[in-house]
Amino acid sequence: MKTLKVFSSFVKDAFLEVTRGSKAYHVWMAVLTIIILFGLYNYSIQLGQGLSATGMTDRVSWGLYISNFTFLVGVAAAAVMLVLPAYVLKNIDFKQAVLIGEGLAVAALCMCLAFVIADMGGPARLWHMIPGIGVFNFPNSMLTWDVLVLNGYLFINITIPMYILIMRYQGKTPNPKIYIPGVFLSVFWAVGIHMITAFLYQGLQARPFWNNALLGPRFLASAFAAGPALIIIVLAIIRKFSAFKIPDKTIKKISMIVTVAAQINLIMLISELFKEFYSPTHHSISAVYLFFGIGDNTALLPWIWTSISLNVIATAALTFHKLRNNLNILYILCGMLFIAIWIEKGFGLIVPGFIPGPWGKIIEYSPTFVEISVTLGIWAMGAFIFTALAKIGIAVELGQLVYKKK
Amino acid sequence: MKKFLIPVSLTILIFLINACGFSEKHTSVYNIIQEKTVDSTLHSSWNLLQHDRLIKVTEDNYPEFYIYERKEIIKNYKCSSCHKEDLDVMKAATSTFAHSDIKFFHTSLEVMTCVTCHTPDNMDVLHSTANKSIDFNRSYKLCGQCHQVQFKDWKGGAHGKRLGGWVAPRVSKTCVECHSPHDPSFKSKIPAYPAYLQQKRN
Amino acid sequence: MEQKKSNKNKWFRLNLGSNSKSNNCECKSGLESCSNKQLNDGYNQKLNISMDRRTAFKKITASLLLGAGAISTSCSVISGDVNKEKSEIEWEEYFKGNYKLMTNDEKKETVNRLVRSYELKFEKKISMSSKNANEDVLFGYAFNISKCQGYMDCVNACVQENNQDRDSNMRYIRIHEMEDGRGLNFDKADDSFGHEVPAKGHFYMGTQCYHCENPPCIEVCPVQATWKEKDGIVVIDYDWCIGCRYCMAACPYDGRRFNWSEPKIPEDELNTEQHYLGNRIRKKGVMEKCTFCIQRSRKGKNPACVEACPTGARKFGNLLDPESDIRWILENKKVFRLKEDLGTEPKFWYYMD
Repeated sequence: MKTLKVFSSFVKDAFLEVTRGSKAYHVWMAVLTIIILFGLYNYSIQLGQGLSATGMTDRVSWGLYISNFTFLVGVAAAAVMLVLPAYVLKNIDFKQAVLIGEGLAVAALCMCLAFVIADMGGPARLWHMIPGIGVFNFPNSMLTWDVLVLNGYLFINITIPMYILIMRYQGKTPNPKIYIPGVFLSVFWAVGIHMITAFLYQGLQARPFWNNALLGPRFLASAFAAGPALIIIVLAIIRKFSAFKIPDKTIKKISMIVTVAAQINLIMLISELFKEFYSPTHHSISAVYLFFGIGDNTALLPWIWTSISLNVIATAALTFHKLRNNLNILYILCGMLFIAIWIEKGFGLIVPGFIPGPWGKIIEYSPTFVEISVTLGIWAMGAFIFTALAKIGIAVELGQLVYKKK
Repeated sequence: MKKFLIPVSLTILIFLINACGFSEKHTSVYNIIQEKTVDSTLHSSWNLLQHDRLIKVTEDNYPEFYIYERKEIIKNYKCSSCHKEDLDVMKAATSTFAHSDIKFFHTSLEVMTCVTCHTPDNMDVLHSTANKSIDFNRSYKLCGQCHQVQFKDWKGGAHGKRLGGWVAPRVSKTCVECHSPHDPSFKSKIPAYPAYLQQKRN
Repeated sequence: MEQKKSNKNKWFRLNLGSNSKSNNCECKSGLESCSNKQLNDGYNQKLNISMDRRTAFKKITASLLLGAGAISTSCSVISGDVNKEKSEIEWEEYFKGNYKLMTNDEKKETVNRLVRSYELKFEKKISMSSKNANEDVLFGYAFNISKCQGYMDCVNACVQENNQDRDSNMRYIRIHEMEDGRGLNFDKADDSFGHEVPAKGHFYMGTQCYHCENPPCIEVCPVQATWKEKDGIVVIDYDWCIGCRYCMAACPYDGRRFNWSEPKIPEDELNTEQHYLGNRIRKKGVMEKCTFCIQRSRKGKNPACVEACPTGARKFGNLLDPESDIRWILENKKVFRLKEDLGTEPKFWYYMD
């Protein structure tokens, strides 16, 4: 009974905390809400018309939604990279970053689930997946593995920080014996969620662009570059807009992770390019389409070359201590890297996998207004969730949110 | 760390055992055919055929099959209803050439003429190159003289059009039901699919 | 203390204390805070009434029943019998399970519901079958590349037989026109041509779902909405499919089609001889594909494409019957399958004269 009381009090206080704030905060949340509502409106159009409201066709049957889903699973997985040093290696510098990181993981996972639902042809029939009531094609279908690991990861990333926060909220110290095993589990689980998401594509012998051994490790490398890059930018914003103290040391340590991961990602890219272009086979044609276009079909060229340029410049710059340790430059480089990897895992991975089609037909893909609005709406929803969670987490850490015994 | 050893290794063991199940999936169709060949008990009880018109075709080394008889449906059969006299006599008697509507596009006149197949003194039958008479119902025997490859394929079932369904007995169209013996080739035309849509829209 | 607490937290609590004792102050000392007075506001008069559990439950159930009755009477007063039956059928159809797991009786029930639902909506009778696979049958298909002239009679027949959407040009069969002298060059092939056929210097090849014996599409479906039947036909339960399109990504042969919008078939062209797993009407957001005309082949007929082809380029039959034409073709003609290296074991062979 007492835990219930504490919990309900925490929820009430958290709700009050989220609805309070500076003018900038309110403007930010209002803008996000407008984008979310507009996205919802367009989603209703999509529900009524069917998926023909999007730009997807029989040839390219996964587009913007699944691209974003793939990318965000990586971001979610990477958030937990901060968890290991903080809790297990007892590196104090990371402690502040951890709750932010896990809040980011939760927000990213909510976005992933939203993108999957937005992409479904029959969302009202999703209950067909529930084991027992429906049919859950485990272990054959990688999608079912993905459902399990993503929801499990969400569960872990909600319960562990919730436990820590409620303990701090009551002014108590969280018990390591309870949260350390959870933390350990979430680190391995993070690697798992992204490998399994990679396996979704890697296992399809019909799509030679994806059917290679390097896809899973490539996903991990790019995730650990993009995720912490986002965390650095977010921490910078938090430093500016709240009283939460994050020492420069923390940010610089995270930037090391970003640098190493970006370098490994680049090496993997070189390896892929070598395989496709040294002795091109018929299976390389998707790579030819992506990097050089085929005939008049060159829609992806500006995207991929922007991505590669940003990637190379950012990775090269990050290698130099002078540049990496200059925080203002670091933020710009992180932004570049984030965008580069978003393109690389989205339009640079999902769409070319389908082009050319199984019989060599090329029909290019471009998202429609409905698709873009829904996507922006879901990103806004993610930002909204993250802002709310971060606000609560920071308030508890700063001692502003305290359980007052009555 | 040690307390994780047992649960982790157990999990890996379970994974491996499950993974073994994956290998049994790859079965070749050819193996399935070899292992499961059955004598077909399915016979056409679905009334897709005109059973009273069937003629059996039995050729060495080929499974037996059926064709429909032709003489009842050839418009001008019996030929002897007009051809009561010798061909030369009939030619002299009239100024018009009967059967003038027949265009002849079957190789060249150096190789084949009317009398290559038709018997002038007995127009109700055809004849082979060795002058053995061939019934109109079995006109396929004529075609098979030159077109050996197609004949073999037709007897086996790879060439030609099957009538009825896929269930035994097999009934095939004879050669002349697709290929007019006087102008056997298939003609070019506009494809049926887009044309059908165009027609609908107009 | 207790009084203050009860006054402050009252909006959380429905006071289901068993008797009026709870309103008495427990403390024995004569402190003012222990006075028995309660605020006599409207809240306390109407909502903070103490009653025993029994009375409370009686009152709650009564109001629930009233509410339910009100809803059901309002529904049945507003809508007629037809609408009631329609929504009943929709309700039952939404909650039914996977067709693969149904008993034969359940299959017949769902077929009856669908037939009745169509009758109510369009006042037209259709006949739908739930016939299971015949024993000792494994369907196989062969395509003679030398014979195909590109007439597309097969495409036409398929679209009409299987009630495919006309607006999106949905067609299970694709006929590829390829240039002579370049081998089987699918990259440069044209599959939507309208000129006279056969075009000089070209040849024609048809593709559709190959009903693989080791289909990658059924492995990846998260809800097992698609599976391989005993007679080798790979089918989809259109009502179970959630529309994730993973199977479409997994098929190496472009065998599957998705309903991106609601399929529309002209009234007068509807084929009313249907099978639950075959050519019945589909809805938007579900996958569909060639089913070897399951509504025909399970009754001994050839699929519509085989029937329609004027040159006899398409052959169909039972692979397990040693006397079938398909077996003769496999054993006597030089047959091959496409993308053999992928290990999918398609049951669709190609051969030439």
